[in-house]
Parts: sequence; C-alpha cells; structure tokens
Amino acid sequence: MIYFDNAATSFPKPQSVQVAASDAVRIYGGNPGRSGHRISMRVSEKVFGVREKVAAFFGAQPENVIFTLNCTMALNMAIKGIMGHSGHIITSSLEHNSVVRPLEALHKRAGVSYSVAEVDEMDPDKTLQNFRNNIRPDTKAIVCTYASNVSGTILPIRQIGELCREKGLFFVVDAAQAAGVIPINVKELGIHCLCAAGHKGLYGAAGTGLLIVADEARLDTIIEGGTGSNSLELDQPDFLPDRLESGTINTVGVLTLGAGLDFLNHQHPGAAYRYEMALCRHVYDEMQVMENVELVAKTFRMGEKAPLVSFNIHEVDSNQVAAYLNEKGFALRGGFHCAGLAHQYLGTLKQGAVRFSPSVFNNAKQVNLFLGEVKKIQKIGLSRG
Amino acid sequence: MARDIIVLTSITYAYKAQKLLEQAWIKSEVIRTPEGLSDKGCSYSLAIRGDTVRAEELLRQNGIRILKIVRQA
Repeated sequence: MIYFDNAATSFPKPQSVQVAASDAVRIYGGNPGRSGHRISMRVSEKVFGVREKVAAFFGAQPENVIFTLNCTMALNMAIKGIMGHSGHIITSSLEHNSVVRPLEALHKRAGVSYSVAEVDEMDPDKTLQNFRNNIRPDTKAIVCTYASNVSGTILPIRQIGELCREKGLFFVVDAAQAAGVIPINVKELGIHCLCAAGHKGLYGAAGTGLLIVADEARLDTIIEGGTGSNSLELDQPDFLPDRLESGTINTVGVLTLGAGLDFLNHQHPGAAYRYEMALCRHVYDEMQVMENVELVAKTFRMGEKAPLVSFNIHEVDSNQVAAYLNEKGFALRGGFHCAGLAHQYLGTLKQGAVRFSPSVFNNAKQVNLFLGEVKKIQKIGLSRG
Repeated sequence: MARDIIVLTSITYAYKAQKLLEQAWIKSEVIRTPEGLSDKGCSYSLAIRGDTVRAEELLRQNGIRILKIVRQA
C-alpha cells in the first residue's frame, strides 16, 4: 500500500519517532510536572526539552507553547478564548470545520458574529482587501487557515498579520497543513495564536497538537483543572503554559513530537516543502493534460500552494474514486475533508474531491505508479478500470 | 551542603530558569518546592549551587517571576 494521505496524518513516521514512542512508554513514565520523584522529574525535563524545540522551530518562548490533543482543540481554545461572549470575527472561505464549527457554535450560543472573507486564489491582494472590507468596529480577531486542506492555496498570512497589527486585532492561524512543511515564525508574521497538528507535517504521533500563544493574547480558558501549580487556589493560574494546559498531557505523543522536530531540523529549512512540492508539481502537470480529470486548484506554483493536489475524475463521486484507488494499493482521501465551506467556495459540493498529499517518505516511482492508475480510470472509467 | 532555594511558579519556568543560569555558569537543581515555602500550593523551585544574588538578578532580568527566595546558610 502506498500512502498519499499525509494531509490527514503523516505515515509512516520517521524511525526516530517510533523509537521515541517506545522510549516514552518504556522509560519516561511518571506524570510530568506533578511530583518531585526522579521518574516524574526525568519526564518533566524531556517535556520541557520538546517545549524548547517547538519554541525554537516557530520563533516563540517555551512557556508560550501549549500541548493540545490536536489542531482542532488548539483552535477552539484560541477562538473561544479570545471571543468570549461578544464581538465579531472574520474568517476565510477556505476554512476547515475546526474553525467554522466553533464560530457557528459561538454565534448560536454566545452572540458572537462572524463574516467570511472570500479567498481569491489568483490574487492575494484581492484576498487581503476582502478581509479589510469585513472589519467592523466590534471586530476582535481574524482567524484563517495558513493553507487550505482542499485546494492547498496559501493565504497572504504576512499581509493579514500586518492588517491585524494596523487595526489592533488578534490573529489566529490554523497551520494544520503548513506546520513542519512551510517555515513559520510567529513573531515575524504577527501571529497571536498559532494552532497546529503535531501528527501531520511535524511527524509526531496522532493525539498531538500545539497552541502557541503570544504574551499579549491573554486567553480565557475553556478547560480548567489540575496544572501541578498553585494547587490551593480555586482559580486557574495566570501564567503559561499552565493557564491553558490542564490535566495530564499526552507524554508519549509529546516525546514523539520532539523526535519529529529533530527529524525536520536535520534537513535544510524548507527542504520538505520543496521535495513534496516537486512530487505534487509532477502530479498536477500530468493531470492537467488528462482529458477527464478536473483539478480543484486553478494554478500550482511554489509559495502559493501547500503540497497537495485535489482532483476529480469524470463526474464520479470522489469517495468512489478513492475506494477504487484503495483497491489498487493507493491510500488517498475522498469526500469533503471536513471542509464543507471550502468545497462550497471551490464549487465541489457535489462530488467532493480526491486528495493526493505526499510526505518526504514518498518518491517519484510511487507517484508514477499512482498516475498510471489514474490514467487508466480517466480513459476507460471506473467500472472497467 | 546548604543550598538557597528560589521558589518559582511552575516546572516550565523552573527548567527555563535553570537553562538561563547554566549559561552564566550557575549550577542549580530543579526540585519540587519544599513544604511550607509555597503559599499557593504546589510549585517548583531551583536549589542554587552558587551565587544566588547573581541568579536572582539574571532571572528577574529575563522576566521570570520569583515567588520567594529562601537562604539556607
């Protein structure tokens, strides 16, 4: 089986990540930051080491790194922590449900309103203008994806960050598809809350996520509980990461995330992006000349897209195509990718799309085998393919 | 050997503080705050082997909140 579903979760994981998982279970038991005995202190130090690595990777301080269970949890903490029960927030037309559903829930339950700024795939200036046009006197924040999980389109993050700075808005970024693939520095980009999956481009285990919070974004909590600090106080601590990190963390996952970062740090910055984009570029170019294949993205250029290619064949349901490819030994995702809003704007609400998303562990030979299968389907159809 | 104790807010700040002091050649150990030294309940501290005055100065310069300093000697 050849795995091309890395936008959902990366697989396989590097050998070092597998070893880290094993070590975490065998050696690093104990609860970090809860006790004073050697076993607890040993794992506490390891966890702090991962916090340092994450901080260095994204241009933050270790205490501003919050370990979460996934990117969705981080986004919920950021969005709800900023908005509370009032105000207006702007998002983009390419959002995943991890952004759209918290916004809708806040709208229905708490009176928060939100607007959708349309992303113009061909014109980042137009996209920026669409965000600007939606700012109101009660706007508190902008939340948007770094790169769409459906079309791969990268939003003009630096410019949106500057807009937020200019207007005094909080800036929350969903980096589920970008973290580990595209270099991100939260300070340089003016990001107040960076939300990321640990199990995709960062190569950690499933059940890992990150929320990196700027000092000036003092989030209200949506989860409270034990932190191993200020235990006699009824209120949640006011310092990070404890304020936002209640309950025992996923130690095994966190240590795998550390190993994933080590794996990435051993490569040149941006090398993963360039390699995966080269594979995608080949797929995009080949599919562009296939008569019955329709590509979701109108363009595919370095710096403008994340490394994924979504497509459809004839008018066949994308899940059917993905199921067929599965039978042929290729793991790709069909359907709507938990991003109904994005599909609505991309005009793929009827079919969804099949998504090809490689990792550094894929190679050109695998890609050509996959393309050979797609060529067969688009020529003779699914039933006889 | 008696060691001074710098009481900090959390394990994260304790390790961050330890790393900062290491860079100034001040050795310390991260410990759970001894009973009676923390008014608000659980916390972590640094047991200092070296110049506590210099250590305090460095931590304050780097924005690390110190809850208490207990001099043992």
